[in-house]
Amino acid sequence: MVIKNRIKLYFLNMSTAIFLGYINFKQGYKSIITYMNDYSVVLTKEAVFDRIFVNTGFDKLDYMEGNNVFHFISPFTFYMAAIFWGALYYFILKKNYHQLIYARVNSKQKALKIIRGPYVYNIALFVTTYIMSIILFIHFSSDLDYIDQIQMIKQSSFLAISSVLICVGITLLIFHIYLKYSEVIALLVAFISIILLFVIDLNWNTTNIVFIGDDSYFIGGAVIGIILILIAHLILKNAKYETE
Amino acid sequence: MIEIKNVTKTIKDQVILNNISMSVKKGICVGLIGHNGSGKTMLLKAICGFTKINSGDIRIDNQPIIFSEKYIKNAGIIIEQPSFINYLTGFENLQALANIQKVISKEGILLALEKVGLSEAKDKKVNQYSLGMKQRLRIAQAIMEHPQILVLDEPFNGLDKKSVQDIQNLLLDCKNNGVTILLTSHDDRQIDFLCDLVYELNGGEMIE
Repeated sequence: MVIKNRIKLYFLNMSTAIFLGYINFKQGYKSIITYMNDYSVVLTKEAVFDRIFVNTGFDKLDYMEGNNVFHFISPFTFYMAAIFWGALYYFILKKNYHQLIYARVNSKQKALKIIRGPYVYNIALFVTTYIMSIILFIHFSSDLDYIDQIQMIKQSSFLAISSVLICVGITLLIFHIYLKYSEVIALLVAFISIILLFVIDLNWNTTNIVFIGDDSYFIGGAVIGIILILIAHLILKNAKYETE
Repeated sequence: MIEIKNVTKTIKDQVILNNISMSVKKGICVGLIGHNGSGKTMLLKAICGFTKINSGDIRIDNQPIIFSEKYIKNAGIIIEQPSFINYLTGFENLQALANIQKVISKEGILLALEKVGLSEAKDKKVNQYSLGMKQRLRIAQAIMEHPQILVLDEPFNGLDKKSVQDIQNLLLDCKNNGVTILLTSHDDRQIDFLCDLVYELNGGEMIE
C-alpha cells in the first residue's frame, strides 16, 4: 500500500510537470507565432525554446521582445513547482510526527534524512518530465524547423542538470527554515530565493544561472546549485532543532 | 537507569524547570503529576533530547542526552499527541515507522495493533479514526518495537473507560517485563495503579 501511494505520487508529479509544460509551451509558442505574423519573419523551433526558458540575449534576439517581466512567469512557475515537489514530502508530515522518527534513530542527521524523504528523486522527476515534455511539444506541435536539433537536446539536458542542482539546493535551504519556523515561511524564502537568482542572472552578463544564453553547458547554474547544496548541508549539520 | 541532575530550563526569563534532579531505576514506573504548565511535558522533552536545557545533565544508562544531537535510545515516545500520516491506514503508519529500525516484522505490527484493540480498524485510514483510536495507535507505535523505556505524556487522553483499563493492563505488562516507564497523567487513579514513584511538579520545581 505504501508503494501504491508512492506510485500515485510519482504519477501526480509527472502529470503536473506535463500540465505546466503544456501551459508554458502554449504561451511561448503563441508569442512566437504572433511575433512572426506581426513582423513577417520566419523563426525556428529554437525560438520557442528560447522564449519558454528565457534566453537573456535580449539585444541579439528580437523575438525575445526585450526584458519583460511577463517572460519570467514560465521559468518562475517551473522552479517554484520543482521546489514544491522537493519539499512536499516533509511538508506533508506534521512537525509533531518528527518525534516518532527521532525516537527511532538516535541521531539528528539520520532523522533529518528520513524527514526530508526522496526529495532529490522528486525534483529530478519533475524537472526531467517538464523539460522533456516541452521538447516533445515543440517537436510535435509546431510547424517550425530546427536550426540544430541535437544542440537543443544537448542544451536541454544540461539545463535539466543545473535546474535539478539549483532546486535541490533551495529545497535543502528551505528545509532548515521549515524546521526552525514553518512551512509558510519556508515557501516564502523559496519564492524570494528564485527572484534573487533571476535578478543575479539578469545582471550577470557572462554567466547563466537560471535562464539560457550562450553558455550551453549551464556551468554557472550548476556551480551555484552545488554551492547552495553545500551551504545547506553545513547549516543542517550545525543547526539545532527543537522537536514538537 | 535515567539520571537527571540539576536540570534548569528557561524561556524568555520564565523558569520552566528549576534545578530538577531525579533518578529512575530500570523497570520501574515513575509518574509525573502537576497542573497545566507545571513543566511535566517539558521535562519529558528534555529527557528525550527534544528541547534545549540551560544547565544540568541528563544521562540514560550513563550515555548523555544532548539536545538535537544525542536523543534517547530504544524508547517508545508519546509527547503532546503526535500526529500520523492521515492518508495512510493505521497499519501502514506503523509499517512506515517500523521500516526505520527494521527490528520487527509484519506480525509484530499486527500484534501491537491487537494489544491496543485496533486489529479490526487496521486497514482504515487514520483520518477516519476517532480521537480514542488515534490515541491507541500512538500507544501501539510506542510499544511495538519492545523498547526498554516508555515516555508517555498523558497516554490515557481521549480513551473510554474500557480502553483505559486495557491500556493500564498493557503498561503493567510492559513494566513487569522490565520496561522503565515515565508517565504523566491528570488522573490520580492511573498514576496510583501503575506508578512505583510519583513526583509532583509545581511551577517548574519538583516535589517527591
